[in-house]
Amino acid sequence: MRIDDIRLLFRYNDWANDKILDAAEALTPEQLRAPNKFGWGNLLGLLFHLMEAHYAWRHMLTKGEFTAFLDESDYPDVDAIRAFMRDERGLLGAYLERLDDDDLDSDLTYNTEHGPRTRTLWHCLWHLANHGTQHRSECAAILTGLGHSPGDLDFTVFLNQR
Amino acid sequence: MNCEDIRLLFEYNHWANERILAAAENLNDDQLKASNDLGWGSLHGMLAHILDAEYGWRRYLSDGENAPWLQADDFADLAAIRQRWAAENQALEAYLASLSDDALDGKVFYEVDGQRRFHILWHCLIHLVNHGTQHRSECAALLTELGCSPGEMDFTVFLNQRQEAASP
Repeated sequence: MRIDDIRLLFRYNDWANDKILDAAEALTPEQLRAPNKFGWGNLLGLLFHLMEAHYAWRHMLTKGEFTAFLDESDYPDVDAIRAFMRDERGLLGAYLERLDDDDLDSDLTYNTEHGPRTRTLWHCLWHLANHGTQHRSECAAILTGLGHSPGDLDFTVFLNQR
Repeated sequence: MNCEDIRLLFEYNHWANERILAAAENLNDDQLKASNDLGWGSLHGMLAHILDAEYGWRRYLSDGENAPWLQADDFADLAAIRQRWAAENQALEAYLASLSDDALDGKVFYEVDGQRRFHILWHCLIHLVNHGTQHRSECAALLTELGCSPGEMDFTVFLNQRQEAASP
């Protein structure tokens, strides 16, 4: 894996997150909180989960440990989530700027509830991007069901627009 | 990008597909083909779509051919999908084994509205894995709703299982 490749994947991740957040802007507070079959309670809960995963992994990657959970009630609407994501994006972007190709193959060890875990650095970064795709798919299904499709989120669509 | 990393991502893709297919074994034919609002008609249709994407891209990347689309109606049941997928897994694995690191940065040309455009080869391969994750997420939601969750499909879960399988 090369750092330029990882940076491209995270530009895609940011692009796709923006498409979801843009579509979610059109919903009412009731629609954002309507229960659904995808877990995380509702669309707002799913967006919060995406945001929190980004925060937790970025914290682990830059500081060597996972961090305390965020409080969902601090992020009551799309604006609050978008503002947090904007800061997160800047922090992860700055971190990725500091990495080089060799760093990506290095091991990092962190504590989990099951004991210490060692992973290759780029595996963590791929997990984060892949986790985003998994849950954006659920967000997109909810948004589409409410008449606000975010449009096609394929990597190739991002590349073509670029 | 390098071939070793691409192959690991496709190993993950295969592992995650198998989790979905194994969970789908618990459904009856009516449940498999029940219509839903997630697109592709039914779970049966979604599985055919994921398989079709793997098949169509693999054919295009390896032979430059636009293969005819695989569709839900091509498969009578889950066993038929699994059988076709097993063959595709072998073909895809052989194709990936034939690649070199340098080849991953090569150009893949295609035409849109009479204009010649290109993608970088590894971008196409990443697209394929990402596309799988996108649609497996929908499959997982349907399966979970029917009481047959495929379980977590995170890349980290795959890595943990792989590590455990490799340790004595």
